[in-house]
Amino acid sequence: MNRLKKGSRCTICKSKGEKNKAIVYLPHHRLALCKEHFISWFEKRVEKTIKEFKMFSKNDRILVAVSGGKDSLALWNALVRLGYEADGFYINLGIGQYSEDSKQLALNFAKRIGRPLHILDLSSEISTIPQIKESTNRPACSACGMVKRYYMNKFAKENGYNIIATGHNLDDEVAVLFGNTLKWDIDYLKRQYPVLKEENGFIRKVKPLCKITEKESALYSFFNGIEYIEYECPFSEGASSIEYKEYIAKLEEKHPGTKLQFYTNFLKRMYPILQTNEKLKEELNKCKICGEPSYNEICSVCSLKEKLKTARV
Amino acid sequence: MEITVSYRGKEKKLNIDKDKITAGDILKALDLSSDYAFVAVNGEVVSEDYIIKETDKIKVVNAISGG
Ligand SMILES: [Zn+2]
Ligand SMILES: [Zn+2]
Repeated sequence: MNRLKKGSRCTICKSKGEKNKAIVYLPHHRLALCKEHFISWFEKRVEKTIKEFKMFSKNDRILVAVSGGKDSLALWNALVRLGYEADGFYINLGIGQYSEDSKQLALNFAKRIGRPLHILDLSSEISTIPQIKESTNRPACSACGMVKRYYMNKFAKENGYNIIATGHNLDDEVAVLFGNTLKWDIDYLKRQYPVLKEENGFIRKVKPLCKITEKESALYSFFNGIEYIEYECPFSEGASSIEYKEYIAKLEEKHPGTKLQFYTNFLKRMYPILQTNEKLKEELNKCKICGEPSYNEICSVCSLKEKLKTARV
Repeated sequence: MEITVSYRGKEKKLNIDKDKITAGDILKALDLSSDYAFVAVNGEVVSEDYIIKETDKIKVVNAISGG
């Protein structure tokens, strides 16, 4: 069986002598589940991933990177339900209606689960993403990723959080792994792990959804009535990651489990090999202007700020 | 048969040349794979062999995002 047939029963209910109808079928796990058991399966899987990679414990203060999308909200929901101390952090990127809508959805959700959502306005820190794109000729997504990483790290440190959790899911990780493998980009492959340890002024970053597929994340949000932004950021249209995901989905349809195997075997078999062959680590300095970690005298965000200043003159 | 579905926050009209339309036909018409998309009818997730009724409120969720 590759898809759900009408009238299938939930695997877990069946084992308990109950007879609830399954509404989800997960071919790669050979599980047919009812709504209630899907939700508990999802949360258990997230908990297991957190433990497997020793991501954090109940004593840690976690900052969830919230975009208003399904993954970050599903993650936040699951962490709070699992009893972790997790607050949200939303960066207003100033991307017109998209930012307005996603911010509102993030705020609504924070209110619903009764946890604080910190909001940082990029326009008051540096500039909006459209302005940065315009005045630097830098592709919007690369500048956006860079400033998000920077402000997330800075904010977390300044506000006493010791963990940053992001909503990257299995499909995201597989698409990145696929892209990096096609290019044999060893520097990126070497760093593709669901936990990035705290060091040199960076705080620990984790991806608790790394074994959850995009569809599972969407289903979890749907079943929990979580309203999230359903349309894409206008800048991400035509992103190569979407193209990869569509190719990989074709493989997965024919051979369920391909994605999970590609990713988990990379972590188990390839990742350790890449670590042994590490060249001398590049020395990380502190940015002369803001004090954040940087490979150069001035970090990329501060030098972007300089560029924006001269562009405005 | 013409049906209206809610997709990525918008209403979308689909023309499917069939008398009995299944949830799977809707995914196919939108060129979506069940690996990353699903159909909900009247607020409940349905299997691909579900046959659409005229009064059904249909929502298609495509989980793929560029992230
Ligand atoms: Zn069940
Ligand atoms: Zn700096």
